[in-house]
Amino acid sequence: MSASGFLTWTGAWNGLGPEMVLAGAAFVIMIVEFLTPAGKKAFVPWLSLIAVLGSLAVVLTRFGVSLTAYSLQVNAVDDFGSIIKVVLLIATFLVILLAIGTRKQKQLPYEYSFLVLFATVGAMILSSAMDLILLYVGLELLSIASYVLVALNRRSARSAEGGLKYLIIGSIASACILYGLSFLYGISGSTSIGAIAGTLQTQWDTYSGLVYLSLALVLGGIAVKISAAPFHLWTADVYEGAPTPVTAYLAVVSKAAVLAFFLRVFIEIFGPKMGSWDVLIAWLAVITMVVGNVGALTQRNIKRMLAYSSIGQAGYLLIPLASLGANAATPAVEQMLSSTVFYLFAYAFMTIGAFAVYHIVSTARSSEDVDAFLGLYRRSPWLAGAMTVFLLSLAGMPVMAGFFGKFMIFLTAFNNGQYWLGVILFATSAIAFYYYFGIIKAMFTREPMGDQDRVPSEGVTNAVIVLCIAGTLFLGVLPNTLMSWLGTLNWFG
Amino acid sequence: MADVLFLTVLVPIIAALLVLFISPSAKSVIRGVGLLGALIPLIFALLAYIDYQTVQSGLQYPFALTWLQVPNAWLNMPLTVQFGFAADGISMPLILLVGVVSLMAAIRSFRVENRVKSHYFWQMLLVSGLYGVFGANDLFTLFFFLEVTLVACYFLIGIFGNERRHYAATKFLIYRGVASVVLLAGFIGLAYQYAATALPASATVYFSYAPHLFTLSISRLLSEATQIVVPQSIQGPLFLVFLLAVLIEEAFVPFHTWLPDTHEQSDTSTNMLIGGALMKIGLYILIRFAVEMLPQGLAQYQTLVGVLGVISILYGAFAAIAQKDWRRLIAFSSISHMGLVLLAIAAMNEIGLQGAVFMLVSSGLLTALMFFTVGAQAERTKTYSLPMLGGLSKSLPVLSGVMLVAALGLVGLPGMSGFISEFTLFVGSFSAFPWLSAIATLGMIFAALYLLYAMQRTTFGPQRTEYDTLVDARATEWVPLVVLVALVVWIGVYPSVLGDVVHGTVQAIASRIGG
Repeated sequence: MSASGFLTWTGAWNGLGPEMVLAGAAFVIMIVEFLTPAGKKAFVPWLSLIAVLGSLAVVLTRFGVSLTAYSLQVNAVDDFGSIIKVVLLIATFLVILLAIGTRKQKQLPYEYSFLVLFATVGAMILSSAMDLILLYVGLELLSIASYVLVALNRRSARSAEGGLKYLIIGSIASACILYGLSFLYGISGSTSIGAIAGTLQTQWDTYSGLVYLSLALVLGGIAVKISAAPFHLWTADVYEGAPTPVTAYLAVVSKAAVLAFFLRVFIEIFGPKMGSWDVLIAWLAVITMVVGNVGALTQRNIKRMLAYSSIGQAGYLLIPLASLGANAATPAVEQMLSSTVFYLFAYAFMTIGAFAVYHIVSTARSSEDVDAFLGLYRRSPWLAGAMTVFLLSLAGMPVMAGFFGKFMIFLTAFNNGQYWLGVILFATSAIAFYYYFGIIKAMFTREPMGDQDRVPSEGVTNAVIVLCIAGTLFLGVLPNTLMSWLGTLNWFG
Repeated sequence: MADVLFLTVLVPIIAALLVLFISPSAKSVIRGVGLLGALIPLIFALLAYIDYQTVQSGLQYPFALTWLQVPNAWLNMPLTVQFGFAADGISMPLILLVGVVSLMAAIRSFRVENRVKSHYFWQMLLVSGLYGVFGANDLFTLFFFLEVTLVACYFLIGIFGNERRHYAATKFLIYRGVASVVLLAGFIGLAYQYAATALPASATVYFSYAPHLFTLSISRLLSEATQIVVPQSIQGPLFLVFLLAVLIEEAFVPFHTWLPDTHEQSDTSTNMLIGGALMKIGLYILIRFAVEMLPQGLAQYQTLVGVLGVISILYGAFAAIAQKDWRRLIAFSSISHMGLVLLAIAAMNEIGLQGAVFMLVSSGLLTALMFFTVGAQAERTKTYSLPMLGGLSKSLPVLSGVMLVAALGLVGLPGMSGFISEFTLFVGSFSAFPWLSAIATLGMIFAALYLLYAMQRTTFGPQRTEYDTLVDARATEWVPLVVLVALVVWIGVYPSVLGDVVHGTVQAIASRIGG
């Protein structure tokens, strides 16, 4: 932590460099976007891409640095935060690229180019903040920017409906989290997570009622934000209403950031007494897996199906944390973190890729129904092949990133003796086969209905798909590259 | 030579990818690539078979690439997931069987005119998966290739099958998908239980790979099986998990309904691959894992396995008698024959196991031949239906003759591979279950009944006038006919060609499990 109470320029750059790059760029892009005449704004999102890459470059220099030299009082610079930021920035990059590719449909006004950046700044702060105030600022920055993004398609009533639903539910969730955090301040008299953790070590039993109330409120709020069942009811409507790139953003960046917040705060603050509350998270994971995968079975609308599928994926992501209860030793924590982060990488590539293909196909057909995919093999074999890769990965078939992601999570559950969680992971994945293969079957074994023309897909969207395929296959064929990197990380400094 | 098994897997995948880049209109180029994609691995498999050291025990041609390393996977033991291959006297003949059947299927696929590219792409993936399953030396690798066969077959059935192909493909996917999930549970249980037993044992027993006691490597698990014993209370339930997976995978009664539907709806080359090679996977897994690694579990449920075998033998035979469609008849006949293998495995002795492996190879060759000839006649007469056929021996003498050879082989005529397989297999099973085996021989009598009756309906009797002008075997059709018949007769007349390779391994297993 920086020694003096005053924030120096160097100190701020060390502690929040990547966020500063992105926030600064967002302000500049906002002004540029306002000043550019209506017909000439096409270049603006490309500036956002450059900003994301710049921020990513700064993040990459932060690996392995000394925690004390770089961190601020309120913000830790550790490898956990940095690796999460890598996931967030890669996903943001792909989402912006996808948004550029969809500009012909005029779903998204160009304001998204800076709104996404602000949201990502919030997400990055969430992953590394060590102070309740900063955490909440990050959470609200992410949430408020997301509410606007969902409702950004002014021509669509469903977009507005989704935005309103997300605003109401999301605000309640934020309020819950804030209320929960306020008890922690009340107990410890400090907003610093380190100080709270220190106080709780001695005062847990004295204030156990308040601590558990706080835990429940924060957990409930987080469950809403990562759409864990039974807090998931907003998900399908919001995902369906939002413009597709924004849906992908919510599914990946928003979820990953809140999950990072969850891991850091819960491990730091409530971790020492993990054995008393891990059952709660285990059940949350189980309910989420079952509800997500069973809910997807009946969906005909692909976007809703992917929404339920992403609920199921959130359940998988909760398993590693839930499995820590029996064994909170350092190697177990490291395994838990690396399996979660591995899955986040896999999840980012396969989800954004699936949404990209979905967007192209549904636009060409003007239909969001699974029938839009009928005979896609005939019309566009490469798109059908790409969608197959993403769906197989989501289903957890081998040589795809999703398989090793699930495998690592499974190993974590077993290593910690939570066999039943591993078994349910497999059982629900087997259910998921049914609806993923439904789309694959429609693409390959059925004949197209209506027009037989090629599905038009243009360069930028194709680039997103190619990047996502590359990521999915790379992590599936050579998972060791990422795993050995994760193995060298010094997670919480 | 060490990477020969890896090459058998790699070449078909390369061929599949090459096919993707060829224009769909260049059908002959695609067929050529497909042919090479099946021929080259067969040459590798043949070289491996010839060079196989029969006196050496243990798995040969080891090849391994590290796929994934987990530093702390369980109880502080690291885990290495490998892309590993190796073969012993049980898998080596089956690898060669895959090679032969896949080349014949690739030749048969010349007749496919619609979506040639997709056909060869999925077929090559299926071939690669089949090689991978039998050649795998790692539980993970094996499971991976099993999933490859599942997906590839699903598409082959779903795209190229007959009217009810979607139904059949979905049924295939559900049954075999469930089987592979159960099997995966078995694999995981096996790996964890062996690790849990090896860890405390490592204080007194020397393991050369010591900290890596949590292993997925089949060769290491096999060597551990000779040194340590997983408790009986765990072997029993774990064996039942494997047995359940195999019952579904092999379409044994009562999980048999998917196989007749699959065969009825698939095209001929897919049927050859499914009947000739894919349907041997389950029993191979049973021998490899249940017999070799969980012998006490098998011993505990020995009678149950034997009874299940006899039920499938008789049910398959009875059902085959009632069939009016050649493909369904072959499917039930195959269930009946695989039941014999189950009975032989239950006997848990050397001669029974040897007969089991013989039967797997023999039934693979004969089923492929049967599907090929039946498919060839149906291509001409446009029907598989027995009541619609008749008198084909006049217009199709060669095809009818070979079909008869295949039927007689399945019935167990001396001088062909079916006879020597059934003979050794029954010698083994009679010593363990005299009564059950006596009942099982009824299955052979029924086999003669339904196969010869069907033959008679097809080839003899008055010829229908519409079949007068049919053209007999073409040049490309001679290859599968000659090759498969030659192999069947070769094994029948000179069983050592197969027995020498099988014997050493089977002997080692039998002496260990007390047979």
